[in-house]
Amino acid sequence: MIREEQGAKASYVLLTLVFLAWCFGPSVIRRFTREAFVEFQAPALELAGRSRDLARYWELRTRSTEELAEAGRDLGRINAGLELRLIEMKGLAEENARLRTLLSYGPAPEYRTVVARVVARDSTGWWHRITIRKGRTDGVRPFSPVVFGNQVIGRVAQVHLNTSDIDLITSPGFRCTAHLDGDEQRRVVLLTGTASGSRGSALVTNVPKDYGAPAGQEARLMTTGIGGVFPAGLLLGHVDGPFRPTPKGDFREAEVTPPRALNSIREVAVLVPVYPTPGEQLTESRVDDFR
Amino acid sequence: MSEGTGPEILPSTPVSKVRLLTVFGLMAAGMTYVMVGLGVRQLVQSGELKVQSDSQSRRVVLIPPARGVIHDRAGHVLVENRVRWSVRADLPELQQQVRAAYLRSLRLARAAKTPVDADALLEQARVQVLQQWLDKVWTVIDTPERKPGSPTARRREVPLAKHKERTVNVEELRKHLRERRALPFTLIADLAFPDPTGKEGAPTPEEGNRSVARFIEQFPSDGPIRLESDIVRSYPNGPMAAHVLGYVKDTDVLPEPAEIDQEVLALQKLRHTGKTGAAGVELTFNADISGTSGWELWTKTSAGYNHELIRKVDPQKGGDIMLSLDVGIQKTAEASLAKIRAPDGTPLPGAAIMMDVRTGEILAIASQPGFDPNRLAGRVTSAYYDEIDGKGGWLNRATQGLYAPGSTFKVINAMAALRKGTVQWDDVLDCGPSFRVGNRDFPEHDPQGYGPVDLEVMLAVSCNVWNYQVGLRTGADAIAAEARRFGLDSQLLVTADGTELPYPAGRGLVVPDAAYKARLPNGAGPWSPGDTANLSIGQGYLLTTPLHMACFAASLARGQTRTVPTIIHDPRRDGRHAGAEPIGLRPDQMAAIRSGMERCVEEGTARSLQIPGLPYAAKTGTSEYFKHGAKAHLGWFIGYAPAIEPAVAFCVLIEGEDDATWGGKTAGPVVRDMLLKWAGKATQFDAPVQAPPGEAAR
Amino acid sequence: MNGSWFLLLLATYPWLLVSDLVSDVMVDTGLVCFLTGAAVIAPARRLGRGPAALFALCVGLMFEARRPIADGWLAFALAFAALSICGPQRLLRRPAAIWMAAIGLNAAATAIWFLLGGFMAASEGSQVSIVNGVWFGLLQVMVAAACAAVAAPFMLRAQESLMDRLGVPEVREA
Repeated sequence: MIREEQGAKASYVLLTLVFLAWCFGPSVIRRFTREAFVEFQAPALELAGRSRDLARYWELRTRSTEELAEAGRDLGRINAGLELRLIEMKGLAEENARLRTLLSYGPAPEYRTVVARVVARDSTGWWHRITIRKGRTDGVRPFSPVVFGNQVIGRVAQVHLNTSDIDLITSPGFRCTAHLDGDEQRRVVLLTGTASGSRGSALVTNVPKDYGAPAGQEARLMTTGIGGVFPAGLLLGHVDGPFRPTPKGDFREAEVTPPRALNSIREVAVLVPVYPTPGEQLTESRVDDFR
Repeated sequence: MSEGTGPEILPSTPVSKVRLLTVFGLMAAGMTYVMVGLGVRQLVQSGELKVQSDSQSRRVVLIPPARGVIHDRAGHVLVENRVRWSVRADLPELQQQVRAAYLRSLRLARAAKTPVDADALLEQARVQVLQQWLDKVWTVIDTPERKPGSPTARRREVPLAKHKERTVNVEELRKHLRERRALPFTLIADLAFPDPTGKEGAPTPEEGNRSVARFIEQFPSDGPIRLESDIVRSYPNGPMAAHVLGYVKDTDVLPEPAEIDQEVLALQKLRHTGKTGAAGVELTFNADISGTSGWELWTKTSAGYNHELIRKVDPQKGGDIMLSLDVGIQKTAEASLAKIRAPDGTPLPGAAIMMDVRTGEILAIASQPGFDPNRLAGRVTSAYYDEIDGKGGWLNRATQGLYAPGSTFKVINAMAALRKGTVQWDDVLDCGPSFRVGNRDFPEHDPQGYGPVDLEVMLAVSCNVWNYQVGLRTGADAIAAEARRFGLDSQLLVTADGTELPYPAGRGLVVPDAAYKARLPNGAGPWSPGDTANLSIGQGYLLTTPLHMACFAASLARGQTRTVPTIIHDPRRDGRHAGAEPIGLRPDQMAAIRSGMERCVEEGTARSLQIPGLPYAAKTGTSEYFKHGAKAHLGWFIGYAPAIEPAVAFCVLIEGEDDATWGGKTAGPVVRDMLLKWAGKATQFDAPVQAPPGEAAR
Repeated sequence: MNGSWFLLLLATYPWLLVSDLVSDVMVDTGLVCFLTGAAVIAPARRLGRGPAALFALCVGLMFEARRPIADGWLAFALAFAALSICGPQRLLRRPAAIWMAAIGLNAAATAIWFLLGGFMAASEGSQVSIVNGVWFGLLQVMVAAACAAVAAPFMLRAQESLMDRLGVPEVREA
């Protein structure tokens, strides 16, 4: 009996010691452990994702041939239109490159696109994340922007071997510079995800007091492309509701609605910068700085 | 759970109840934790791990308002507020890192057996940690975007190499810890615009924006380093009209807060630093443009950090004002002044003024050398202060510079004579190369003399001898009275309520007479005919400012005795001037004076400065003064344009280095540039520009 | 210490995976179907202190791994909870008590991770709305309690039967 009690006490003491060692020990241990547990779960998540795809496949199999033929026709039409746009774009890209050389502008950052399926989604009051089925082995790197069409979805928060976690633009860690529709001076405003404690939302801050949204439409927020992470001209969202003055009275701010229901997206594209940004290189050391 | 396989469930024992309670206790604790914890978190964020119950005292934080914008008469922005992005470090959050660095260096010091100064080590640790973070910030901002094989990209990608805020300012840190420990420490005060004047190496606005964007998108947001933005005073035209616009300085005395109770006001105050006008319009109209402070009422922790916000009132932005200046003319005046240089290439000091004849609104008022108010808006380096001081840049020569008006005063001398009847406008006097007064020869500026000269010719060629003769006939008292009639002894830029006053022009003005000379110390002696001769050509004791002479020219153009100049634009001005009366000379006398001034441009001392299609009236002046112990010339040029139905009056003064400076030759080109600029945009003024050719040829 | 705790962990994981998938379905509500806390109860009752703590650590870390919560805090909290449950005087014998304990521990663990998540969110420099946070936190705690109430009987039964097969001894008499 006494031995039991001593054992109990010893186990608490031991666990406390392990906890302290965990907290103050090298961050490598924590990182390794986290990675291990992610990788442990990854196959199951992947399996779940794939079975969802399979279900979708069988669902499509039940469609009638006519339906499919019609869809094929529609696609053909869209395809023809896109072919035309492609030729147009090529011309524009060439002109852009020529103008850049002419004005001795720096080159536009180069990205490699990694298309990935969403395998899991996870939202709480504090974070809004999705997990995608591409990871380090596919060349995904942390900090890379994640887009869907011309819309920003978020940015890569963590990269694992075969999966990556994406912070959506409504997540508190998300920060991005933006231009507002109709602001001829192209002033830089700031888009941040907010930790509202409940529903996810984003906030545009640093809006100049004299900014007026174009009449009759919601102001759109587009990426600036000057921060070195996001390419220019991607849609971040629409201003939702009125601009409120900020506490100091210098600026205004407003809620921003993401371009689409971020949670219903099934496939995204990760834009991995060909050359790592300095900020990306800082992230490694960051882990240690805050412990 | 184990009904099928395990033993039957036994009634719970007292011991097991304790265990069960433990689990429920855990659950209750968890629930409490989530509610209390979020409150606690706020304190953890502000670096405070423990809130002590006795710490609930309160404090007021005053928040400065944004200042109003200053426009020119067409609405162009002269002074505005721009976004300033500053990088700040949250010191409480860095405490752990500082402590670690401190302990490290303490260990090293002990190991090396060197004497340990704990305070110095702690400061060293603080600086070291902050410097590490600062280096990271610059890494993110500076590292060029990589793109092999593209040299152009690299060239444009190193914009902020000259940014000064690359090392932690130890002095500032000490001051911060002493005075504002509770607020974040500023590592980089102005990330985007380290030098808004665009001097070499300074980034363009685009490059500044890029630095900010890079920080926002790439720097970890969950660390102790934050980017904060506020609004600062910005002078987009740099040194343009700096003396008039003035500049702002940091102040702890903020504008009166709104809706604040006496009880709250009496609490301990923590102030954000605000801005207050330090000179020029910024100072004069400070009350109008500074707005109303906001405030926040906080509870604070025992360590002095803010805890919980109880109430807040937002600050109110100050009102905008519209100056009478015209940016185009102002810029032309300054650029033209800057072209006037001494033989060694340094720009000569000087002033240029152009004003609306009808309203007295000043369209341009330039004084060189000047300064850049942008560089005075934040922390002013003593080097820059001394630089301005060294070249005499603080003085507004247009309103504060006191000079002998020289030959431009001959117009007043002539008017005094006409009024007293000591000469008629068509009297022809014989003017030789000099004129003897007492036992001294007063020289003509042309050694040949001018021979027979009437009033018109006198004004055209600026004959001295005519003025000596007439001045002696008229007498000093009458000449001084005429000068006073035109307000040469009274302060300007003061309206009835005494508020409209960028600078009081006219401290130290002198319109001399016998009584004045009698008051002079050290036996200057009684007033002599020689003094009168000097006065008649605007020399001697006479001292006035360029603004006074510009006002005189405007008054003359209107046929009145006074012009009240103003720097504020008001489209409803009725053109009435306080104290103004008709000049009181006969029309033929006035016509002769006007004609003389027109002939000055057509055939006289200013004949090289004609503007085709824009006849104007002018009087040049070249007076002597002592500079660095040697005789040098002041070049003057006053007048109005167009000759018929005048719309603008002007005055330019140049301080020469030697006797190579002349009113027409040196100061005249500035006037011509201003008039050309003005004529190009004259449609916006009330008066017509172009007189019919027939009339102009008078 | 034998490997039964690990086998038990493998057997428990599908339950946790299902809870993750349910969370995925509920994603628009922002609520998480959380079962990790409830999963600790049965092993903690019957396994020894060491294996129980290890098991709790592992399930905790599994939840934390993909989420922005400070590493290890939830896991160690669960491990301490597991230690307090196992011991010489095994107290949880009645199914009702076990069920209640599962609900309680699940709710408490939810409170902990929710708080930790808020902590991380605020350290990202975001404005945190405390009022929203508290209400949403309470809602999340209630949802977790409900999840445990519904799923725990089945999960615990599965865990118990596995332990029986693995030969883990039943709770001894005091």
